[in-house]
Amino acid sequence: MLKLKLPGSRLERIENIWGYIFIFPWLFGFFALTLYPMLFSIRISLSNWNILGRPRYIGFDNFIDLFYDERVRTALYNTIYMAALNIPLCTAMALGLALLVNSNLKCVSIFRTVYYLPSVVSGISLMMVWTWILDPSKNGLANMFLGLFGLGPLSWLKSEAWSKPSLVLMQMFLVGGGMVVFLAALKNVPVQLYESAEIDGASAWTKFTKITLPMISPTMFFQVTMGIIGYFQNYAANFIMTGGGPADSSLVLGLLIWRQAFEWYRMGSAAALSWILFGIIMIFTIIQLIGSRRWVYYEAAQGGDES
Amino acid sequence: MTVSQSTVAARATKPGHIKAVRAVQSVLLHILAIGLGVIFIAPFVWMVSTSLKDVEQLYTQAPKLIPNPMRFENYAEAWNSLPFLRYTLNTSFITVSCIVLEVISCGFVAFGFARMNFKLRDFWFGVLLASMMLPGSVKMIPMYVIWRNLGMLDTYVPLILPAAFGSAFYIFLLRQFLLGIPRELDDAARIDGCGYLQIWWHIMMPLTRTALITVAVFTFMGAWNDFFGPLIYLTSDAKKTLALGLRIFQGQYGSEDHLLMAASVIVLLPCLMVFMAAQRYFIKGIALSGLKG
Amino acid sequence: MRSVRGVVGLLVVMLVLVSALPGLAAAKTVVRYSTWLTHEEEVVEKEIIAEFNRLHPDIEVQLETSAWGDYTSKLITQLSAGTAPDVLNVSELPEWAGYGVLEVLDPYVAREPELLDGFFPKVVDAGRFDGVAVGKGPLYGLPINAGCQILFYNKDMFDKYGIPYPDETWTFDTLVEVGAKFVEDRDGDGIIDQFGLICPTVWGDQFVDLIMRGYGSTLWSEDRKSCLIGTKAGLDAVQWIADLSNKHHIMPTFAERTATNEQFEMGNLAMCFHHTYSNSIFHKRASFNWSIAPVPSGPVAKQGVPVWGHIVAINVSSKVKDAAWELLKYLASEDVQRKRYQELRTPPSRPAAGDDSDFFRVMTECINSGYIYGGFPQAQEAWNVIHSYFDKVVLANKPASEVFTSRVITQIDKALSR
Repeated sequence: MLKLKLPGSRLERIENIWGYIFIFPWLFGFFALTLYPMLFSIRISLSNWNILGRPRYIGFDNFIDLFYDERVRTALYNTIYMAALNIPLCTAMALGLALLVNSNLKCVSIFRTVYYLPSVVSGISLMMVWTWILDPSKNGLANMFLGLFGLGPLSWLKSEAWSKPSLVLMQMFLVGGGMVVFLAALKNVPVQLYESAEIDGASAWTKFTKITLPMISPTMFFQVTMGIIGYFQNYAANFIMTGGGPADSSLVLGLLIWRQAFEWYRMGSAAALSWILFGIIMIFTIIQLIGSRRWVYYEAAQGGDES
Repeated sequence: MTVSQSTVAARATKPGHIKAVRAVQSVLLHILAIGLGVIFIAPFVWMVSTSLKDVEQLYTQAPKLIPNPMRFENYAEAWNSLPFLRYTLNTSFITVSCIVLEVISCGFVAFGFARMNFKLRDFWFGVLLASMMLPGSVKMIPMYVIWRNLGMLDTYVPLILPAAFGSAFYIFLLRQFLLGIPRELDDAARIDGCGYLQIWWHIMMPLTRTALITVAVFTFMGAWNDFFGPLIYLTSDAKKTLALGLRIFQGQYGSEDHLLMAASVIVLLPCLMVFMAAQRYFIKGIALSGLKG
Repeated sequence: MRSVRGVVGLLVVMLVLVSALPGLAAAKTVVRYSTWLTHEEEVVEKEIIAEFNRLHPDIEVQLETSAWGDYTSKLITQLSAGTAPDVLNVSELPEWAGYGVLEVLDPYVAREPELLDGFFPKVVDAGRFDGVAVGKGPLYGLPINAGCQILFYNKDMFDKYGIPYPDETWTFDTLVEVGAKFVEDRDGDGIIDQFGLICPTVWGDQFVDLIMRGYGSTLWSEDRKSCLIGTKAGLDAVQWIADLSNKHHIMPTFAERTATNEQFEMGNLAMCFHHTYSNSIFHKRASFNWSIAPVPSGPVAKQGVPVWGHIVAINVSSKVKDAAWELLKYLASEDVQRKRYQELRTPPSRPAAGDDSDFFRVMTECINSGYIYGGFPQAQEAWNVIHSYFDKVVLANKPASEVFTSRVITQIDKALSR
């Protein structure tokens, strides 16, 4: 392989400049639009602010108050519980669907559309439909389904034990986006790799674990990382469908933050809790980043030495 | 003789055997796909069913899946409840602008993060990830204040311009795809005298076409269905969007579910059409990947 | 590249179309008015505004609307950034008045002393806030409608069972006793599907306060610094509500409720506690005869019902307060309220704008004998804490006294102190 990165520092300098030219749009947007709200929320986290009046500096009181607040602990537990359930299940579901619609199905484009459908239905209508599906009475669609096997009826969203799994169940049907991302990744796996494996007599499972998984591992890494970043903050379904209940069983941090800010007019506390959540997401992301070094395979990083 | 006979026999039976296994596999696969499809399509069917019910059928003990009578007037009523054409035009303008800006800028920035070596690259990438980790609830008001100070309230600028700077989510997505492309392609292009811009535009953009289409589809869905941005930034009736318009069917003391569902189905149709159209490019991805390896 | 040109062309065409909005009429005082509404209310509200603009050639009212679910967060953002409209329909009075974004109207009223005469006095007082609770103190807005808690009942069902309609002699006990007569398994599948009573608002602070008043107390202390749900009256009230479904089973349990709480409209409930505002919904949906009755009295006190109205107010930082005041008076005027009542069935805050229906007669009596609940800024969070423990009484079927322990009361009081 030809080493283009000669010791000559001129080339490095040029690449440096071009690198910054390429990321400039994002950098500009970050400094112009994203940084100020983040800094502002740090200042607010150290203040008492009812949103409508002026913020008053109170030091770390918000953080101390949150530390002793029982509901913060409940919400933290629920958030981690739901994330631990949601991220693996939804990633698996998305990958499974992508593999399915990447196989030799008849009318595959119809199946793709059908699987993507729940992800396109706009928020409120979707939640309403799912409220009907998860109706705790025997008339709910989910309970009718269980009834076919002589099971149920379950109380779904209206029970302390089932509210979290019910919400995750619903979210498992909203993985159309993940399916599309995985599908795009699967389409980018060179066909030749499979062909040569077939000549070697590899089984379907071997092909999946030795070719497909490594080749789509960058996408898998993306899915899991974004799952962590996105899902830890997610609260839309909890807000609309359960309101965090019953008995706080589906109260998550994102919902508590929204409530503190826009229902209870305690933006200082909301900002403090947001930064705590930021820290939690950061920790989980870093753990996942370190872990990923073992299983993520980048073609570009290999320098093409393999071929 | 016997040996060759048996090998011939083996050669003859083996493909047949494999064919049978393949056929069974294929049938099982189709059963699985259809079974899942039924579950996935259920909410949509329920939605359409509700959109065709009259008030009496909506509030009954055991709701029926197939309405009788079907009330197609709901669609006319929903259509007339909102300035649909105006809202569609507004929404399309925002959506198309966002797609164009997002695809170009995210592709551009992702190229920098994935294929360039520059100082502090990994640091900035960490910042990019971190910028997504703070909940929107606390960023909303300062964000609004920025646009107020710029005099951009009640315009589409706050809804469109951020797309020009690239969204962290899509940049990350495209970076992952770009990292999957072998390094020799750039090297070869460099030897041929290509600049970075040419490598980006002529080599990497076409190679990540599937991913770019994915970004376009997601941007479409995001902008088309976003109601929170329009809610906060727009005040004039004439500037509102479809997703915002849909909210009006839900009142303080009850909602008009049949009209809401009818309007939602109308709003959903363009999304479906866009998705169906975009699928064509997923298939094209196969041919292009032949370049690789 | 042809597609790129196509897209650009499309964008230009759209931009031209989008920017071709009507220019603003000059030399008029522009008053921005913000309210939440549904598509049906929008039609009526636009007519009202058009009429106002016609009557006041020097003023141009611009209507800014959002849906109920989005209204408060949008307004909070606008109020915080100083971009809120001049006239606001107030969704959270204690907070907005308490945090100083609403204009005090007493000086305006002083100029026109007879202005408040035609309203239900209590509904006007529901627009006052003295820094502690709603009900007294400076006036922050004028009521454009009126409401109270009420007992709706299914007349046809009472007739079918030959049971006399509810009236003002009823107590909480009568309610349970009569309610039990309606409990039935209509389709014979072994699951009860017809009930005596439902309280869609059962999980609201106003409703718990109402029942507590029947037991001779209130949910909050006078100074709003502590919660009285741990007192005997409080625990009795919580237990009574929980027993409706858990012990007497005249009310569907959590699991037996339909997802959307629309069981009264479905015709399988005899009675239902609700706001008077629900009459517009029931009119549209219910296919049976129904009527309203006063809420029964508690064992200790004849408590009455909470009374309120939606009020419109002036943004304290408005530059056009006099014009805003004109709009305020118009929105609360008799003619406009009569129009809303006749076309949308929103009950008016002026007796003269009503009619001689049973509905309006009973509502008028209830409003006159009612009380003002007295909300305050910390109530939302404190109630949210109470709510989560309330669920435990109902779901885990635990005695109220075991759930609302002193530790829980401390947690609620802490929320009140924030």
